[in-house]
Amino acid sequence: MLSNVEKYKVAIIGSGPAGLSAAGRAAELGVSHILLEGTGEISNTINFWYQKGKHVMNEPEQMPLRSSVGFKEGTREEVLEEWQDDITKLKINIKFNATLKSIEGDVGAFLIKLSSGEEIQAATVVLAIGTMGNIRKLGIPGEENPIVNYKLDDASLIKNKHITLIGAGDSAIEDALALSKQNKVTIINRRNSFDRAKGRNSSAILRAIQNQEIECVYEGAPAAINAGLGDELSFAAELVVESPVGNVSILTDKIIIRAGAMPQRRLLDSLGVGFPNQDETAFPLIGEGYQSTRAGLYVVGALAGCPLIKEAMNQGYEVIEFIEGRHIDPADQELVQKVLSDLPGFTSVKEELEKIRANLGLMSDVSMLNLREFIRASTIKFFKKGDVLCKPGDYANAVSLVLSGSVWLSNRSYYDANADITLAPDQLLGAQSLFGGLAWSGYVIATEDIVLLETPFGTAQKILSSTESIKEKINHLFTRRVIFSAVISTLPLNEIQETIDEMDFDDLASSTSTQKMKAGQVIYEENSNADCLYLVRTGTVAISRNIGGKNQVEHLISPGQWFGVDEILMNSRRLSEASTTRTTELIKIDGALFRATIVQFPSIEKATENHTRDMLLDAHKRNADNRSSQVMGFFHNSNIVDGTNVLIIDESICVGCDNCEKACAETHGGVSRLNRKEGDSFASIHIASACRHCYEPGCMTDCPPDAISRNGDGSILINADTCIGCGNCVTNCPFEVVKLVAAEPQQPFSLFSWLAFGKGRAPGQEVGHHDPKAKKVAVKCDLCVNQSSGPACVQSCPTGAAVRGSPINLLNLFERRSEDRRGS
Amino acid sequence: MNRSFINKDNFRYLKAAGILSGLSIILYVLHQPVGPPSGASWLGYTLGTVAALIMVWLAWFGVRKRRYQNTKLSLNTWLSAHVYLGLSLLVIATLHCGFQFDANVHTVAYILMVFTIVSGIFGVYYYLTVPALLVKNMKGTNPESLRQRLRDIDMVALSLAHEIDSQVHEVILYSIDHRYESKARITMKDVRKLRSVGAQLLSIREVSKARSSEKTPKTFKKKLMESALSINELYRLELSKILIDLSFDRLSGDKLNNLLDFVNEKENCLLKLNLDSRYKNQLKTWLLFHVPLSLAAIISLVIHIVTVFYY
Repeated sequence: MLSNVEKYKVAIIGSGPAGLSAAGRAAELGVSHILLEGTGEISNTINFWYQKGKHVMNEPEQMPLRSSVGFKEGTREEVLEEWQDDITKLKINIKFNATLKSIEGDVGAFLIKLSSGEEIQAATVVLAIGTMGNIRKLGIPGEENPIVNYKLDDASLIKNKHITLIGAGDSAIEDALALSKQNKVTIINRRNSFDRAKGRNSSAILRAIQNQEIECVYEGAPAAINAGLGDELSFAAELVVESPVGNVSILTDKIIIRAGAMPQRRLLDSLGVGFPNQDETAFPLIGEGYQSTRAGLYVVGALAGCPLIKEAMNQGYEVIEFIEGRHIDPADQELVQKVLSDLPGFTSVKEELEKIRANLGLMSDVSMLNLREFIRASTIKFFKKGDVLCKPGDYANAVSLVLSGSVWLSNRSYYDANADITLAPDQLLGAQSLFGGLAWSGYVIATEDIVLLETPFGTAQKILSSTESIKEKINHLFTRRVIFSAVISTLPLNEIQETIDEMDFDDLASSTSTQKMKAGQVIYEENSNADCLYLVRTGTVAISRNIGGKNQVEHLISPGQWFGVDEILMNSRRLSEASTTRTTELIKIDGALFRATIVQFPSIEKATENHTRDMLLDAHKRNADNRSSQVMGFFHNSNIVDGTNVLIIDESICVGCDNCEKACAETHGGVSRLNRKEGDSFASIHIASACRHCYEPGCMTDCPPDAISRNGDGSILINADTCIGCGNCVTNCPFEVVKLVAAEPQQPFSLFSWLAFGKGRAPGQEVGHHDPKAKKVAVKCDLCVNQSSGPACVQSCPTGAAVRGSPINLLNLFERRSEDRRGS
Repeated sequence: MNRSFINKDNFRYLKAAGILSGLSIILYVLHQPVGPPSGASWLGYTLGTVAALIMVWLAWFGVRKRRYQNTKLSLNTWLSAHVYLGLSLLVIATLHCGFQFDANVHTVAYILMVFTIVSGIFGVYYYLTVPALLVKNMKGTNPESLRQRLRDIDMVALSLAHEIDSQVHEVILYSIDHRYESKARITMKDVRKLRSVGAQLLSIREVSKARSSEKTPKTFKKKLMESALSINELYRLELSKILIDLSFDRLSGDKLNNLLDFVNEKENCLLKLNLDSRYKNQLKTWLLFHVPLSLAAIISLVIHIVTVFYY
């Protein structure tokens, strides 16, 4: 019976980057193979789902390509053409329109059954089917109408139409935004928010809806598509949508359904591929050499959790090597070795990686693939005993794992064996900056020679939050550190009498719970029962009191600070109301346990109580001063508190000379990064439009090349060399202070010839840009990092009206100024 | 911190300038020159050198202001010192010449210097008072939104007038053409012109004209009589009166009220914008005197020094 069945050593299913690369390697080695493609063309995802002309990137850049098939950065068309050529050149045996139905038999003699009824025999099978799978359809009457599409080829070809998008994911939003430039677009969202999409996309679509560029039907369920009259004057179809307000009828020319892809779990389960859990988004379990739980069945590419083209191609190559019995090292071996070979007593990559997993509790659950990626991005650093690693006020811009040795937190900048405050040996430095945007509260000093593995935030965040168990560990670590920092910051470190160990707060940290809240929610009300206190992890909390029927904000609590502690210490009901000013994450600490913990440290206890007394006094002073509470209210409403360093203009002394803008342009290649006139004002306080260096920088959330980072002093910087000008940061910045510029080089400036003859450009004159094709990069305030004298705008203000600083400092400054004024 | 450059660093530069001036006065009083006090004695030369150095340094402010890279002291500090040392020059230079004034290049140099300082004093006065006036005038709004509001008012008022009738429409058109930001200041001529336009339009409508004089509310007439009215108010009242006369018998009261509200608001916006640009000009115009005068003073200083040593 099997006589007319084709027999191969390897059958590869799916002709995407991974599958194609595997087939290419097999063809090159002369291994008998067949590449099965379900559609009529190679690489369905890139061929069919990518928009025409889409730029395909070759990330990660430093990773070498190891494949018999070529791949270079370029347009979708160029990439596909190169692959097509390689198929011919390598004589890859490819079979189109071969849809997989089932795989029977065992390793050595698998029987692959296709939908067409054909059967193929193979010793091993490589599954490279990706994750796109079958797209989800709506299954409503009229869906077969030709105006219904499931993808968008080229938005620029469609003009002056009414188009309806169905879906609320990234692809639906991206299509809607692209189409809305030349068309009237309606988007149907099954739910009432867009938070399933990337932050950048969801904020962009919300803005477009608010500006009435796109119409949106929330909680809408498409029910039917009725064909139009078919003449040129009317719309092509009518879409009936069930919504909370009843049935809505939308007249439309085109309908694009972007309801996502069907999970392929059922198919994979039927193939006997094992998964770690029942989660539909989970990736298959993969052993050495990409072998799945079914012997002889290999999984590579996106389905193996590797969405990048180049890495997928490398896997395709490697899997054939493994099948051929050669145990080759992963393609990044050299890169990993380059990092690790700096370690004292380096033996081999494999041993060192295992040592890291064994010694660092934190990394024990990271998969080898992820650990390698982590190491690749890292550098090894050495410090001698007594070296200062961090200073108070520093922000970490990377996380550091302590590979050997230990560190102390101290109030002194030198090592003292009798240092009385000890950081827990948690092996991870910088978590508080990474997860909370917080600065160091003391000196971190090496107590012996130490070896650190330093990893940039972007990579660290991605990998450390990819595994649930690591996330939990880091959470605990972070909570303990924040509690510890808050406790020891109640009084100057040198006034602390007791020996304090961070580990003393371990139990307290374990007993906490985190609470996520949206903006404007009440955490507790005045006069309610008080049994806990809170620490702000991210976001801001306003503490307000009801005075004369009006809610007056008295304090703003920023990340790393606690609130609600007074009532715990005084055993009273809530003295004020606490509410969130924006999306906020809180750590809730049990009141009784907190008391029990700090009682161990009399000086801390006393300082906390004193602090409470001061706060109460302060609050009463404020109540007597209505104006200062209004200023506080303005700070609260204008979201200044989001920033770590805000530019404020005191309009009561600003003479409008614009020297601030000129100074900025002159020190930044002819483009001012601030706009004096724009921005909110209250009385004489004006928040100029300039970067606020937010605690949680929106700009940083979606930067593909990781070009935006937080500097040691808290400033957020954009690296002009690595910026690709994609504009994500521009869209993601809620304060609209990032801009894309393609500035032409600034002409040299001679003050003499300008003053004497009016020749050349004026000082601070902005540079225009004329070449529309020139490469643009994102720019924003960099706090003049290169200037020893600090921000040029502030430095160049003749009257001292321009000030930069943390919101709390500025608040104090303005309160002082208004007091001065009243006094004078 | 409050009064910008005045009390910078706790009046450090006022103190420095005070000490310098005080020292000069003491030396001048104690000094017993041969002959009358003049620039020719040793004290005269000393004070002259100090004054000349201060003048050059003061002029250097123009250069310093335009240097933005790695500046050690802030411009605020420089301005504070500039103001106080500039004022001390009045004392030092006067003592340097020993109150000897004559019709010669030396006195010209002195006078130019004094003019420069006086223009500077105006600058200080404006810098200290105008910003607060600007804030007070704008009070919660800004020129850009006022301009936007003006455009909105014009549009809405015009469509409202269109609903009433063609003559009212014409009045509003006239006011749009004649009342805009850069023409915010008006004269009696404008008021008379408006009045004649109104009269012309009324004459088309014979019936209304007959009734108009009685129907005009008395308060308007009374107000028009009052001499204390500013020209802007006069204009506004005239415009309101025309609108009332024209639409009294063909319009519901609330529509007319709306229209009058717009007229009022527009005039208020224009007043504010007018005041805003006047204040902003005050912050700039003194410099048009101060800078050329200072350059002239420096040139005459050079001539003064050269002639002194040449002769």
